[in-house]
Amino acid sequence: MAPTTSPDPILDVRDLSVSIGAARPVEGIAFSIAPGETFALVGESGCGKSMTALSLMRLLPDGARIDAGAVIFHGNDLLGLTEAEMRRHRGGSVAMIFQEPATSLNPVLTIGRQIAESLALHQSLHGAAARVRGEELLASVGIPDPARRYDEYPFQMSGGMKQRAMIAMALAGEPRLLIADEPTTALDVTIQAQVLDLLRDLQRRRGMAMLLITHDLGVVARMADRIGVMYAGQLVEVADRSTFFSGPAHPYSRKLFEALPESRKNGQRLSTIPGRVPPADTVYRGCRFVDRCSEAMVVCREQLPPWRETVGCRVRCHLEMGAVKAQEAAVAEFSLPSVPAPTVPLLEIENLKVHFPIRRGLLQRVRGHVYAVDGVSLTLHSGRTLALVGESGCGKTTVGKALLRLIEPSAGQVRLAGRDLTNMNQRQMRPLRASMQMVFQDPFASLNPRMRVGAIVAEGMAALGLAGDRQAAVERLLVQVGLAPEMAGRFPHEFSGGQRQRIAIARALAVQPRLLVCDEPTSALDVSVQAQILNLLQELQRDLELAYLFITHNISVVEYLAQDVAVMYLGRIVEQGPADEVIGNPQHPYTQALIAAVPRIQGADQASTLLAVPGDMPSPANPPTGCHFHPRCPRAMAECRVTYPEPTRTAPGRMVRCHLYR
Amino acid sequence: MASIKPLAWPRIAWLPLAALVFAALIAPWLAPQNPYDLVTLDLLDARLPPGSHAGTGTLTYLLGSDEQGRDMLSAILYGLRISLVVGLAGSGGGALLGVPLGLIAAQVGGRIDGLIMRIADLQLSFPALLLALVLLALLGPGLGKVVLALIAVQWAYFARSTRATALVELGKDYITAARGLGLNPLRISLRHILPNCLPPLLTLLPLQIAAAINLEATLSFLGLGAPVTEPSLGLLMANGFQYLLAGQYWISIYPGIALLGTIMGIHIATGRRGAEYT
Repeated sequence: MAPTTSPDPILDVRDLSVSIGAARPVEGIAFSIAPGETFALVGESGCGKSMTALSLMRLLPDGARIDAGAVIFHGNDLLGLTEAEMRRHRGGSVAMIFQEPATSLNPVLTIGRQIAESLALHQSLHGAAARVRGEELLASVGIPDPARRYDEYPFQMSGGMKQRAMIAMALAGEPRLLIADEPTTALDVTIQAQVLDLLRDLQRRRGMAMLLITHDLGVVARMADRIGVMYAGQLVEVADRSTFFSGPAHPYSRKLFEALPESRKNGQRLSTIPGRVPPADTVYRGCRFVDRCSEAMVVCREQLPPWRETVGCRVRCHLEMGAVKAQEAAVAEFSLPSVPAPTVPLLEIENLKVHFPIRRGLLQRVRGHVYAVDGVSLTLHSGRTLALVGESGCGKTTVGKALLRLIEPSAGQVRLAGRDLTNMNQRQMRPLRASMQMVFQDPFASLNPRMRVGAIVAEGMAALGLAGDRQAAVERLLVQVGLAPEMAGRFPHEFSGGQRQRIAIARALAVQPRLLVCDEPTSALDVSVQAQILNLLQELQRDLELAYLFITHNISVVEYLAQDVAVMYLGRIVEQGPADEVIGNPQHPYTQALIAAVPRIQGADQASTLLAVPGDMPSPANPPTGCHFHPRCPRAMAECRVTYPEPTRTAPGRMVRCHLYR
Repeated sequence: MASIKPLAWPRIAWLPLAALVFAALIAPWLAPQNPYDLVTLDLLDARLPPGSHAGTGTLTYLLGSDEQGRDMLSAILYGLRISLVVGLAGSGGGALLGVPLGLIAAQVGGRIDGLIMRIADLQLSFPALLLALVLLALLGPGLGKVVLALIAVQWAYFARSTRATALVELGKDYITAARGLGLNPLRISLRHILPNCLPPLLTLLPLQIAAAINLEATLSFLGLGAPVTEPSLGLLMANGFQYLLAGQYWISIYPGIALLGTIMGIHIATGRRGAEYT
C-alpha cells in the first residue's frame, strides 16, 4: 500500500481549513483512507485532531467555519451537500464515536430506543424488525444477554459496556467509515484492550474504514495501518505503520516517542518538548514547530517546509531524511543519581481497611459496606518510590487519602517514622501534616480558582506555623518547580494544565514534607508535559530525599519511575515486589492481564492480539466469594471460588496472593 | 455540538433601576413636597386629579393628590425609599443569616445539618405571606418588625442554595488539599468554600430582593407594614383602593406603577447573572 495516498480511497480529504474568527485550528489538512484501512491522527491536545474529525461530519461548533478544501467521501464532496443530504450520511454511511461514553448516550432513553432511532432513520427498520436487528448489533459488540440489555438505561451499564453500546449505535447505520475520537481514553486498560480488539474485529469483518483519533502511541501501534501526526493545525508527517514505528521522521514525532516513560529510560531524564503548542491564531512564516525544535535552522523560520517523500513516509520538514535518522542516537543521556537502598521505613501501612457503610430504607439503617480498602499493607522508604497500580474503583485513591487521614480508616495502622497516625485526633495530626502531602490528578480541580498562586503556595506554611520570610519562600518554591517568581500574583486559570500541576507540587512542597502521595498526577496531561512533570518529580526526590507513594494506572510510568510496585484489585493487594521484577515477570493472573492489556509500541509490527481479560470489575460492595478475581481469571480453580488466597512469598521481596503459588 | 452563546445583555440594562434608586436617594430635593410633614398638607386639596394646582400655593400635583391632600409624586418618591431600604435590609439580613447556616450545614453535616435543614423545610412549607402575617401579629407593626419578618421568610432560601453549592465545592480536590495542609475548618469555610459559592448566590440575591419588596408592599397594603405617617408604596396603594371604583384611579395606580417599575428594573438589571449561571 502506498504510504501517503490510497489507490481507491473511500475518504479523500483535500486541503481542509477551518477557522474560528482569527484562529485557524485546522489548516490545509490532506489525507485519504482506503476501505478497510485504519488511519490514525496523532498529536497532543490543541493540535486540531478533533476539529478535523468534526469538520468531516460538518458538526463544527458555532462560529467555526470551513474555509477551504474538499471532503470526498465515496465520490461525493460532503462539503457541497445540503444540510438535509448531510444528515443522511451522519450516523449512516459515516458514523462517529466519542471519548466519553457517559455523556454521549442519552440518559433518559433505553439503549434499545437509541439504537432503534438510528435503525429507523438509516435502515427504515421499525417495530419488531428493529428490535431483532438491535439485539443482533448488541450481540455483535459483545454485550452479553442482549435481549435484556436492549431495555436497559445507560446508568445501568458500566463504562466499557456503554462504549460498546455506543459502537453498536454507530454500526446501526451500516457505516462505511467510522470516526473514533479517543474511543478508549476514558476506559481502564483491561476494558480498553477489550474495546480495541472489538473495533479491530468489527472493522475486519465489515471492511469498514476507520479514522482513529488518539494521543496514545500505544493505541496507534495496536490499531493503525497508517499514521498522520498533527501539530498546530497541520499535518507534519504521514507514514505507514512499520516506517513510523521503526523511526519517525519529523522532529515532533520523535519528541513524542522520546517523551514516553519506559523501563529502559529508568534512571534517565525524559526528553521533553520545551514551550507549548502556539495559540491557534498565530501567524506563521516558516515551520510551525520551529520554536520548540531542537534541530531548527535559519531556513525553518523563513520558509514553510515542503513535503518530502521517501518509502513509506511523507514528512514536512527542512531536514534531509538521512540527517533526521542519524540524529536518533543522540537521545539525552542525562542520567540521574542512583536511588538509595532501603533503610529504616518512613511509612508503614498495616492491614489498612476503609469500609463505607451503605444506608438504605426508611430508617437509613446500615445494610452493608463498600469494601473500598480491605486489608492493605505497604512499606515505603525515604528517597524511594512505591507505585500503587490498579484500575479505577480498586481503592487505590482511598488508600492514599486514608493514610493522610483525609478519609477515616475503619481499621489498621499507619505509622509515619514510627509514630502511629491512626489513633491521633485531628489536632494531634496537624503538626504531622507537614510531613506528608498529596498531589492530585486533576490540576483544574485541585487549586482554588479564586486564590492567587502566591496565596495558594503560602497557605500551608501559615497553617502549619512554619517560620521565615514567606514571600521569599514562595518565590523559591516557584523557581524550584520550574515557574517564574512573578507568577505568584496570577490566578490558576491563567496557567496550562502542566503549569497548574507544578503549582500543586509547589503547594505540597511548601510545608517541607518527607512523603508525597501522588494520585495520578500526570494522567490528565499530554505526553510531553507528563515527561516534564515526571522529570520534576524525580529531581525533587533526589534533592529532597522525598518518598513517593505513586498511585497510577499507567504501567509505563511505573516502569520508568518506581522501585517497588503493589498491584491492587478490589480493595486488596494481589501482588507486590520490585517494579522491574513484577512487570518483567508478573505472577498473579490479574497482573499478567493488566500488563498484557497495555498497548505497547515495542513489537507493534507483530500486531498480536493480546490476551484480554473478559468482563468488568465487580462491585466492591459485593465482592465475589473466594478470590475476588476468579470470575475473570483464565486459570481459576475450584479452590479459588471458596477461599481468598493467603500471601505467598515467591522470591525475596516478592509477594503474591494466588492459589497457583502455594 | 452547538455551543450556547451567552445572551447579549446590553449594558444599559442597569439604567432603569439606577434611575429609580437615584430618584429615591435624592427624594428630599426632587420631591415638590415633604409628604411626612403634615403641616404642609392641605385637606382641601384632597383627591385632586393629576395636573391640578394647589389651592394655596404654586404647587402643581403632577400625579394628583391623595385623600389627605398629599402630592402623589412626592409620596411615591418617599415611598420608594422605604420599599427599597426594607427590601434590601430584609434580603440582606436573610443572606447574612442563611449563608453561614448553609455553610455550617454543609461542612459539619450529620445532626447539625439535619437540624438546620429541617428548620428550613418547616419555614419553607409556610406560605411566606402567612408566616410574615403571623410574625407581625405577634411583634406588632413597624418597619423594623417588617424587616425581621422578611429575614425570617428569606433566610431558608439562602441556606438551601449555599448548602447545595458548598456540598459540590466540598467534593473538589482543592478542599481536600486544604484539609491536607491542616487548615482549620473556619478558614476552609471562609477562604475556600464561600468565595466559590458566590456566583449562584449573586443570582439568587436580586430575586430575593424583588420578592422582599413585593412582600413588604403586600404587608403594607394589608395595613401591617409601614405606619400611616410614613407610607410605603403598598400603603399608598391601599389608601387609594377605595376610590378606585369612583374613578379616582391615580391614588392607587401610580404607586402600583412605581412598584412594578422597581421590580422590573431589578430583574432587567440583574438578568445577566441569570443568563450566565443558569
